[in-house]
Amino acid sequence: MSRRATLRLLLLGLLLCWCGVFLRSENTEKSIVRALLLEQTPEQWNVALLYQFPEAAADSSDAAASVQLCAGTGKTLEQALFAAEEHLPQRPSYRLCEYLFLNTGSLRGELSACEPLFCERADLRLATRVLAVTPGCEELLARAEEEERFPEQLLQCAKDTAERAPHLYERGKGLLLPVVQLKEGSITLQKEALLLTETGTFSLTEEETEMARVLLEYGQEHTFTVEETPITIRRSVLGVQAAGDGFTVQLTFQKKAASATPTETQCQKLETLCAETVQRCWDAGADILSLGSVRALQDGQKTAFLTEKNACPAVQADVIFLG
Amino acid sequence: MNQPAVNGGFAPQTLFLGLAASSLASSFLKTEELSARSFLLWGLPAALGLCLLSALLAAEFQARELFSGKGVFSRLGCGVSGLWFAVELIRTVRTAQEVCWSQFSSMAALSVLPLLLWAGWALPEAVFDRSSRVLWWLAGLGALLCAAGLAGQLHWQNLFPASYRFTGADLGQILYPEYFALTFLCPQRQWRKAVWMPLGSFGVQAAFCFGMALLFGARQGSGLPGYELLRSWTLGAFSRFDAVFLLLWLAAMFFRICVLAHILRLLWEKFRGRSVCEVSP
Amino acid sequence: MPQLSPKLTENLALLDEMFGSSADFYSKEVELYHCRGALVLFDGMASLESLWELLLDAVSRRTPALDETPGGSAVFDLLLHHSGLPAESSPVETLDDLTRRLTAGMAVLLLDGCAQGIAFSVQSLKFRSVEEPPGEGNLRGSREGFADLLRVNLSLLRRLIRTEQLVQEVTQADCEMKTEYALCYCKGKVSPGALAQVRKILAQAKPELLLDSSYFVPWLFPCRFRLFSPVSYTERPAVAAAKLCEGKIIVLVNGSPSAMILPTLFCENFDCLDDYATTAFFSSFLRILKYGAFYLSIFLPGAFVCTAVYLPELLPPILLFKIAAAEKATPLPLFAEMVMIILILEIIREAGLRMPQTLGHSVSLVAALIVGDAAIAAGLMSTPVLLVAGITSVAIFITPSLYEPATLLRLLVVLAAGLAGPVGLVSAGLFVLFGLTQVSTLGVPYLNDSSFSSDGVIRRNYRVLSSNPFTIWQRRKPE
Repeated sequence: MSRRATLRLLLLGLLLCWCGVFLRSENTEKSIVRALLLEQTPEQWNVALLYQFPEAAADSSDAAASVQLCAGTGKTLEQALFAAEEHLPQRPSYRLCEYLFLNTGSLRGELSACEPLFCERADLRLATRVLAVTPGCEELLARAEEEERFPEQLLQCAKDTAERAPHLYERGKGLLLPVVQLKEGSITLQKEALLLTETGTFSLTEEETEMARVLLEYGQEHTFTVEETPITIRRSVLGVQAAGDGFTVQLTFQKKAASATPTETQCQKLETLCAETVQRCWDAGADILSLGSVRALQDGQKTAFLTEKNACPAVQADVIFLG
Repeated sequence: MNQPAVNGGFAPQTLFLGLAASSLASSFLKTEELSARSFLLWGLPAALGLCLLSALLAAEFQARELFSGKGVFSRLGCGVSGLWFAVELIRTVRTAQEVCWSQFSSMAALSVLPLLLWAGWALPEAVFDRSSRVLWWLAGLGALLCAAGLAGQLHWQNLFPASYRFTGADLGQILYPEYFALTFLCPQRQWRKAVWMPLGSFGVQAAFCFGMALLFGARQGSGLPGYELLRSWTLGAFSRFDAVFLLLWLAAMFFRICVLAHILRLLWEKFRGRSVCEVSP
Repeated sequence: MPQLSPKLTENLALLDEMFGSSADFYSKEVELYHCRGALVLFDGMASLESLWELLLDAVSRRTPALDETPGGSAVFDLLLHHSGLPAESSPVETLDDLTRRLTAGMAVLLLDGCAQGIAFSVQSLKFRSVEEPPGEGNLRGSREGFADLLRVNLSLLRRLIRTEQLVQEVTQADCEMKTEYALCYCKGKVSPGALAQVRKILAQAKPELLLDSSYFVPWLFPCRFRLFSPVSYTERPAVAAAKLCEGKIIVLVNGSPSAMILPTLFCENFDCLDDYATTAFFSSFLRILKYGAFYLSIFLPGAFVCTAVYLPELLPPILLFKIAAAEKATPLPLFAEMVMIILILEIIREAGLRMPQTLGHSVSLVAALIVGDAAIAAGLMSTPVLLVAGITSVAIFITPSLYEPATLLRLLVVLAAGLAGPVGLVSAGLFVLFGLTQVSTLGVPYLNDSSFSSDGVIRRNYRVLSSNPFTIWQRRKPE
């Protein structure tokens, strides 16, 4: 073999060795974490993980991956998370983790702590949907041990509620959190949501919750009970304009086919509800219609920016139903 | 390999693909806050200034035959440019590896590096030009998909925060050696398009910056990692697509590594005074 | 080149030495005009009956008399120029020429006293009839396919292009078997420079054997390693004629029905004869399908392995868990399983191609049982992997001309994605792209923007296409 050919072979061998040094083979055996549950108590942090881990099945039609729950505690959030991961059957993968449950007991603290965690880790993301949950991690774990299907129901509740839940990155503007509760042994969604702002945590009424969701454009279908008549809205379009010192809010609704056409009185009630909800949220410290930005767009630098520290401007709502 | 490289020149879109990828990297690797208004106020004049400088220097270097490879002055020019391109190559490799490690927990970028350098060294410019057209199509599709997934989450109101904090701009991140080597890199008939590359890079960074602002709004205190914009994508049954965008970006970065390796080869041959077969534009 | 001897005995002795031990060599001494001569031919290639009829016919015509006993040259001159014998116009002068004509199926008359021979075209060569080629199916259009004989193939082309534009140059290759090949082109459309280059290369090529036109490729496109070949092949005269009208060059080799077309574009692998016989919408739909199938066959196994292992968020959770459950039950990691099943499918495909027809059913049954049922029941393979490998194996047959590169690339992509994850997948994709864009022949890039022309991925109405005829040299990069 010529010297050149030998040199070529040597270089090829070196190249293969170099390539091989940094390569590795992985497999799919991971515990896929679907949701994080955080609870901060005065003494410690409790973290629970909703995960899926499929059992072996050569024929895929027999494959099943039941949802399971495990928990851990620690002085800090990172320690609690690490402790929870220890209970996972395989190493964790958070790439499918889309839901974050925060215990209603200490929402602000939990939010402040988890945002840096989510920013640091590449497999978590700030677009995670945030929900509030009333039972603590211990209670949930106990329930999961009693009833095998409980974790799956919890996850399903999160999936069903997802479009009505805010993203974690919306924290700065105020979060309208749906509340998941354990009622009569089953997981349900509370009709009243919690509004979490810089100034505090506020509970909205059922009607205010629904109207706030319309104004924040969370979800497509909404149901209002006006004068004991349910009105289901399939789609809504929101328009906000500055008018003098106040604002006009135009709500264009498309009602669901089977739903009754609202009367003039009912529309007026909805308009009143809209204005009251805006006022309520403003007082709680959340400008859910971004009235300050609308004013800034119209007036520019002429006036100071309108914030929740100012008095709530007058809001005139106008509700129109199509079809 | 022993044949001298044929310097037919790159098409501007070939160079710009790499620059766009690099500009995007500087956007999503940053963690400090950068307001959209600041970026626009600082970045646009700087980009326009760079375009002007690029055009003036191209004319000057052409007149002085800076990259001809003949004479001490020309060799010095080739040497200095070569060093800058080498630094840029190392920076590009580091960036690609950083993203691979942070996002995919993979060191494989280092393992494919010799192959990329070899490909860049050996392949002619025409191959890169043709490949760049395909990659641009993929980039366009990726951008459309990105826009579709973020559309529902972008709110113009976020551009008007309660309090506006004026932040500076890292001008060091917008200087690339390609801007100052147009006479060497592109045929003369393409200079008119190539001088606008700084504006294009600025456009990419501005789009990202505005995307961040529209999605997250102004945040008091520390900014968010740029990756979060990609991670916020959601469309239908798919909840997360940032990996696909990063892979497209990675393809463009690997492409840039190959192009830079080829440029280094051309500069090296000029520096050594070897005749480079020049194809007239 | 040794010349023929004027002495008949010497010529016959030489021929006897060269071919005497061959059972098909026929030599008969005759006397014409009192001049000794000999008829030589290869039995089975030349027809004795045709020769007899030819001679009888010539005998019945009026032939000028010779006054005295003529020498061989006089008889030669009489027979060749002044008689009714339908002989070949050019005489046989050298031993090489004699051998060439005899092996072409001609009969040669040698005369004593004349260093030249007269050749008669009495070929009766046995060859495969003109049938539909099995490898190129179509619904509409011509069903003729090239035969193995070069002259027959040339005639098939001549029947389709009935103008003076078609030129068919026949030359003997510089190989041991002295095989003939033909260079066909339309003189008004081909690039003269490219043609001269191809002609020169083929003349200088020295293949040991020339059994097919593809044997010329290493001389035409010297390259240490090539994935995509910038030539295509066809067994249909209609397709060959269409390519000739686009200014391309066709190379036909005697003994092979496969015509080599050069230069070729990548996008031409995705169109076929049927495209122009159906509506523009349907043929466009089929082309998009073909593009999708091609890229699917290359990237699907690798992407499947990469997403399942490294990027699970890109798969629906139910599918992801089925894949994970299946992988957990099998002894090999996902990418190793994928490589194994791809290799097994290749073995089955190759066996199906080579095995005798009578065994076909048995082997198919065994393959289906082993791979399809027993392997899964035994837990050696999983159904998702089998499904993906099966889909890709079938998908590639939608573009059979790209089968070879697609098979190799599929393996490469799977290995890259399995070992290096998403980075490997991207690198492999870039490698494929460079492999496509690197290929260029006679100044025409293999991958160019023809895909976006009026006859690319989307085909326009044929009337529109006809108003702006396409020649391949429009795609040549300017020099």
